[in-house]
Amino acid sequence: MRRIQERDEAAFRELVERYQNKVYSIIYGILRNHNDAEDIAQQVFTKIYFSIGSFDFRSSLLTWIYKITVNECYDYLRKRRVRKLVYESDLGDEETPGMERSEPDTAPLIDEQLERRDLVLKLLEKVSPEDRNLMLLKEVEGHSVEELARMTGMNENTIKVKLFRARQKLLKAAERLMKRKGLPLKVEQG
Amino acid sequence: MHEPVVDGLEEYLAGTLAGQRLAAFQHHVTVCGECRRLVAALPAQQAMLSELRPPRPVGPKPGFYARVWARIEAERASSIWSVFLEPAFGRRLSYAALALLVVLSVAVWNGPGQPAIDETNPMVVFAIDLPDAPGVDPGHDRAVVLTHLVSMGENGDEAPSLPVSSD
Repeated sequence: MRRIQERDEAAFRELVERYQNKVYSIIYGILRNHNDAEDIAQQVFTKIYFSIGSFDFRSSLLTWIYKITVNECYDYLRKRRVRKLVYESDLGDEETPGMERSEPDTAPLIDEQLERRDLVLKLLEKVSPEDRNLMLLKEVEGHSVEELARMTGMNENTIKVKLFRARQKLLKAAERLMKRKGLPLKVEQG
Repeated sequence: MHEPVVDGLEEYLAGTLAGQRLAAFQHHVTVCGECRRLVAALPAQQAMLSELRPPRPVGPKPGFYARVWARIEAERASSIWSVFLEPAFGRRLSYAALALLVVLSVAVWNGPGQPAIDETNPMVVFAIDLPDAPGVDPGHDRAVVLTHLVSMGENGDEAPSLPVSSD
């Protein structure tokens, strides 16, 4: 890490090669589009290169990279939503469908799955970036409380309290969203 | 307040909570509506979050590092000013600017002010008339000394010694 902070290109290359699959996989999990995943993964490593000096070793490198990656995804989603709104405001209702750039391009995902993923992303937007990262590290990456404590430099009780509050916030956000849409809070498993 | 649930929730979800802690957890859930609602909703919450797991292992196409490096080079070339936005450099620059400001402020505050002029001392009054320090303008020095000597001679006083240039 010190070598990377001193702008050692070989050390930076090692870092990229070590974490590129992880970063790509996180982004693809959120966006489900290979072009976007490639573009944002490049952006993540560029950001790491330019801001590595601010890494203070309080958390693990993976946690820091994870935070940057998820933040970049959410920045992208925000920009895409603004672009879409601007775009839709310029077009009639009939022209809009199918014109969006980042439709998932892999397996034929059914609408229901897409809706569920959109819902999760929207809900995760309602909690703080720290809570969001913890929830993702726990539920998506499958890390245990002990691992999270090691990775973040916090103690286990703090992690438990933060996860509990994050889960509460997510639940309340889901209830509000469902109420607004007039739907019951029910999500199929699997 | 919700301690048994806060403490045991993750283990409960993993199916590893047991013994007295499980009993305390279950008891709290029966008496606390908020926790009951949360625990009941958690399987759905976990299922929703699992939607963000990629369906299979994925990774970038070969040559990813080269593409990242090209992007870094492009960004670096695009703006030399970006160096000021680097947190570490920016911080150092701010400290340096602050330190310089402090040094300058102290220098201005403690710098030589206008000396008090004692107009009762003829030497001081005399020196004020000099355009420059003695020796800078020898012609002027000479004229001043001569004028002074003449005025001393007229008053019968002893002339004070003045620094005069050698030529």
